[in-house]
Amino acid sequence: MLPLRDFQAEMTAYLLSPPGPSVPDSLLALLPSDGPHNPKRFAVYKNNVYARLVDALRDTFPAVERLVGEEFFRYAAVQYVAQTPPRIGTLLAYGGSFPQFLSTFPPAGTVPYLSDVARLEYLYLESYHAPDAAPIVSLPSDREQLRPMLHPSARLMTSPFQVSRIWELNRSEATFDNVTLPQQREYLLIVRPEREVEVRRLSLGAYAAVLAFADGGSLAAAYEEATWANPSFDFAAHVETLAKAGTFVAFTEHDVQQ
Amino acid sequence: MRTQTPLRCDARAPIPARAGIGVKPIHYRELLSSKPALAFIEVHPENYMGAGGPPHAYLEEIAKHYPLSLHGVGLSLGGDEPLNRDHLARWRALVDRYQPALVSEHVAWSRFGEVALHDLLPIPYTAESLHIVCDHIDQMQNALGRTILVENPSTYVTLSQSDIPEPDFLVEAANRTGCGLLLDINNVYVSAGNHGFDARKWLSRVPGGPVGEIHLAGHSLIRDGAFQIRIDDHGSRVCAEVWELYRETVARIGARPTLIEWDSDVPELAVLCDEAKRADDTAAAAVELRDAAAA
Repeated sequence: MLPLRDFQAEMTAYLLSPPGPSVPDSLLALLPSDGPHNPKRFAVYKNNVYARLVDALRDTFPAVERLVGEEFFRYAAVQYVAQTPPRIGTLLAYGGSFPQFLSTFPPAGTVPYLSDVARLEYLYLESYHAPDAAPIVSLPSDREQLRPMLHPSARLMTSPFQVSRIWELNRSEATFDNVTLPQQREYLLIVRPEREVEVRRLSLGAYAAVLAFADGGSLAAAYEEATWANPSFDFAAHVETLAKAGTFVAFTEHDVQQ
Repeated sequence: MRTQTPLRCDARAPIPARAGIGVKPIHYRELLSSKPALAFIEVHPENYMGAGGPPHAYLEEIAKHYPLSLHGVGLSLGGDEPLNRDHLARWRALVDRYQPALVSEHVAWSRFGEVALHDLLPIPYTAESLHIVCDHIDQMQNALGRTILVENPSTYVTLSQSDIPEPDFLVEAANRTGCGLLLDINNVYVSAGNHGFDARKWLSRVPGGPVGEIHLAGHSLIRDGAFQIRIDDHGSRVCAEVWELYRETVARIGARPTLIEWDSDVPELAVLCDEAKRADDTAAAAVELRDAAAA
């Protein structure tokens, strides 16, 4: 009699092996009779596991799927699932390394922006599920040394491609005429001040400032960073705009970053 | 020494023995604007294990209008390994926050080693697995500070080492741990078809006492040459045979909170409500007939 542990070890190895018809004899031997269709019974479980995990990736990366098509996406997702099965019992955060996987997945090499679109979609997901917090929309006065604390849903990314435009065009089923987007670097802030996640395109100066805030920098420190990146940057106006848009949840006097 | 948690159906909103539905994000807005008459709303806690955001915002609103049932699919009560502490802690946080009227999990496993397989996998029904499942039920009940219900799975294989009939295994687990049973009638029907047993006989082995909830769902039939198998995909209306088994079960044990479960090809809210109404009508007719026969 096979102890429960050994059965579950063998079944797990089978379920995670690449999709295919073969079922190990050790598992088939557990069934009461030698039916010719026994492998198909085990295959139902394997199909379920792969289908559920591939669907989870489809839910998180709809624009990636649309860019490469259903069939290609499935092909890539199945390989990813086999290499990187989930570790936790909720799928809400599954696929964190899928963008990285795509960047080194040779068949995706012809779509150079694909992994950046995936990165944006995953940051969107993180922002969606991040802790709630009430934004503070007006800046305190006399504030140079204050450190604005970003909303816990804030995520930053930059890409050499117009990744947010590509994402916007491909995240829904809506059709659009072919567009040509010149290659142009984007600086993005993904944040959910209220219920909706917003993907905001920032200027280089604003991005440098928000990056400084993310590192726990004060307004004075962020001013240095932003005007170094862009000497003509209107720091005060931009910080005001960021605050009004619900980017900050606190202004602290001390370094609150660990 | 087992600690027995007294059976209770929640402080905030006792659940009536009528039909509820499982909802998905596509239903949130319509559910909250039209607020159809439903006994309860059931969700998978795994979909609410994020820190914040819209899922919690909507669930908070839903919980203001309906009793909630949290129906877990990821704790792996039938796993050989200890329950995952982090997962149990996330469960605890949800139970504390939402005070659900019902809490349930499956007699199945879904985790091994470092991997979460996200499927409800079969266990052999043996003395060894009964011991493990009961320990895990105890652990879950103690961690959540309340009684849970455990559900019979649908299965595609039977394991020859099983030497306890499935319904007896479930009833014994309930006896030992004080947990209740979530009787999934579609699962019984699916397994009966796949393994060639009689669903009626199976159901008749389960006394009404521990049954705290009933699940109803649709399934599909896959044919591959001479091979055919029922797949528990929760992707269609409840079939006629399952309605009949439901009617008979309610006639035997009385009405219970009954869920219309729909997880793939999810239809609009109206279809779910329609199925829920049919469940209510079926249960009411069954109870009426039984009472008339008894009079």
